[in-house]
Amino acid sequence: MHQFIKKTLLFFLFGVPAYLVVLIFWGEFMPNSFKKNLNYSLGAYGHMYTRIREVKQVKNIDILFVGSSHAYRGFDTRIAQQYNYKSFNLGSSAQTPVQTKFLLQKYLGKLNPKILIYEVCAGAFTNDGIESSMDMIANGKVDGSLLQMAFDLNNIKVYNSLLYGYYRQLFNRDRNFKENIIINSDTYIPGGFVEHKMMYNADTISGAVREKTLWLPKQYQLTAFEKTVSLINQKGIKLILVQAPVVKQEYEKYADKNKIDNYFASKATYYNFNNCLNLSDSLDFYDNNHLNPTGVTIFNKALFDSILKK
Amino acid sequence: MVFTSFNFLVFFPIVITLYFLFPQKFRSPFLLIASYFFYINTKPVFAVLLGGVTLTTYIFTLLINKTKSEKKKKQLLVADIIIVLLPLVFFKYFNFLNDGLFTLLEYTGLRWPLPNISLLLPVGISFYTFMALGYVIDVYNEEIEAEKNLGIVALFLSFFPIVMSGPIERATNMFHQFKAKLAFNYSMAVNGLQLILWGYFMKLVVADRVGLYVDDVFKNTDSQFGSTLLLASLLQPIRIYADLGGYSLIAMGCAKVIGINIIPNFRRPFFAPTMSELWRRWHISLIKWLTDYVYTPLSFSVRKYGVWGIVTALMLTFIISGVWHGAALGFIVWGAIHGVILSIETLTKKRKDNFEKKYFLNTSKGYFFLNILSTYVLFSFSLIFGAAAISVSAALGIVEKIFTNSFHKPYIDGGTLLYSFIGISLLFIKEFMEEYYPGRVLLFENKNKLIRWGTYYFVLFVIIFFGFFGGEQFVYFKF
Repeated sequence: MHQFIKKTLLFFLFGVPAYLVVLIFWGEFMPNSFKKNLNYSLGAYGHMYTRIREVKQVKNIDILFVGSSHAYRGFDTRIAQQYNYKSFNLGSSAQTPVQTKFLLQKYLGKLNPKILIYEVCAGAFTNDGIESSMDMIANGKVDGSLLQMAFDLNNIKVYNSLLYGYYRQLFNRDRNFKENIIINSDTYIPGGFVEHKMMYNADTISGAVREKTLWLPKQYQLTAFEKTVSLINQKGIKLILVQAPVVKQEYEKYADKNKIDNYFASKATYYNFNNCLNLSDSLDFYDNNHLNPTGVTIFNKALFDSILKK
Repeated sequence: MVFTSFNFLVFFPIVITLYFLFPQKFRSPFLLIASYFFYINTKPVFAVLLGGVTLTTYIFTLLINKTKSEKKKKQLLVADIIIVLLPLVFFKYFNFLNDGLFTLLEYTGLRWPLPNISLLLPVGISFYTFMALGYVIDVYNEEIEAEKNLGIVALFLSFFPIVMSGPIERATNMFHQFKAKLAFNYSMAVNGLQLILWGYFMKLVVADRVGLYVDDVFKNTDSQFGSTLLLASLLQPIRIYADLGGYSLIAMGCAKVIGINIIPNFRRPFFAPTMSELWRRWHISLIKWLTDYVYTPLSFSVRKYGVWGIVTALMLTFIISGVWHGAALGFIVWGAIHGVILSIETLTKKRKDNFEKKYFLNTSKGYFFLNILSTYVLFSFSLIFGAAAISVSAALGIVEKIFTNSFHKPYIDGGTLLYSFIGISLLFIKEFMEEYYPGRVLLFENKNKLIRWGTYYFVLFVIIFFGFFGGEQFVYFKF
């Protein structure tokens, strides 16, 4: 028995450094097609790299926006400025409640917003949150709060990426990286908003009918969301939950839309903009999920006019 | 609790440590508590059912043992079989039977008043029910004495490595091990951990990766080319083998660390040149159970009909095997396909042997390889009914598309297929060496510590960097 315990401990003693060596080798030298379980993409999508660096310079704002790509592509901080609101958009690609909780724990104190607009995309609650956490790891700073997020998700991909990210941070391996303000059709606007080039949505032309599904949120996402709600309430910040508009075909995919609306309405002030805006699926969107600049303007004006002026 | 969950990675070392810290007499009771804790983690209410089956089995085996009259013994056996089967029939087959009766009565103009019930199938019910039935039949046949210690019977039916998906163990193999004074055995523990490691490789690197592609294809067969369906159908047996085979290895490994040997469930099935050989290597515990408790008594009772008696027994046994797998017509068809293939093999065996001898085919490697290949293809074809499709008509649709719409480039999910290919290749190389060159290349068993440990680390890192960690279910949980 003693021999077994001794050898098991030895196995792990050699195993941990061996794992770290393999991990670094994997991250540095393997082609991307072999990195399914180690996803470290600096500045990959959604300008998170630039956003995270900008948020460190910002404090004491009026409005903070959080949520998935619907948020950082949907809430235009320049329009908020026209309404005399100093705002910042902390949305990120596929951001789920677990990541929102992490971002708020990290930046809420410094940003000190009066209002938090939380974009609650129903799909974010059914997502495992792994891809979004990779975004945070690669573009943010690896620290205790990120480790806490990794524990919440408890996935080997997240641990691999976190350790590799820590190595890169420790040896300053990303010092030469610079994210362009314009990437393909996206332009980063100071304040965290990402503007997409004016395009129209061609997806709706096919008119494909999607099979209806039930909304089955993951328990840990609901828990993270509810913890965020109570954190916001504790701090006395006004919380507004917003469901950003998507094309009808996309919005109709859940058979139990009322359940979704009732859930969010029970947590805070909630507005579903799929029910109250007269948007064209082809003219105001550039794809099935995201508004084009015309759509963003309509949506934001409606948001600030009818909600914030109340 | 699932073997691939982080919870299990915490649970197992704690159980092992406490198990060996306890004095001998407390080890079995502790294992029982740990097993129920493991089982309760899925859904607590299911444990009540498991407890009920245990208690029924315990009481009836004692009664059968005590009874002198053969007639009464038989009555008790029949009563026990009915009671133990009731929950399985109710949870697994109620809606299937209800639908069948409804359709049947509709033809006569009558209406069946019972509505379908949405029931969650208790995990492992098919496995522990068969184990309980096997035990009571063994007591009836006087192959084993009825166990007086309820704890041992309860541990047998709930033993955590096997309660969810088998192997379907026998009381004759397990009781004496539970009762023995189990001391820590170094080589068994090491061997157990090796099995666990390889089991995780099979499940996470092969089964779950291949499953991503296969499930993606079969989720929406209407929009797939025949070539895509063909590729997915050919990958399906590997996926199921790696899934249940991986599970079985983890189960065997866990039991071995505790000091208990359980029967192996697979033995390199895809190197079988005939279907009968494949069934000697595939899901061995189930086939052995069916052979002992269904096929042998059946063939004995119809032996006067000669070879046709054997054919009837084979057909019935495999149809029962299909029914055991699931309450759907597809599974019955799947079972029948195997019954037919095995019957043909039985009926033509002599002629085939003579033909092979005459043309010296039994020494031809090419011919042997062709047999292995055709067995694999036939097995893949049968699984279109047993695993891929939700109905017989959907399965026939897949078959039709494979034959009529396969001249297109299949859908290739590059990353998933590349990862699958790496996993399958490693699995194939290992099994090929074990099948044809046993003992030639030793890796896990190598005396050189560097090679042995190097292999452990290699497999571990392959799991970490190539495994799929998104799905925590095993295919056989639904059975």
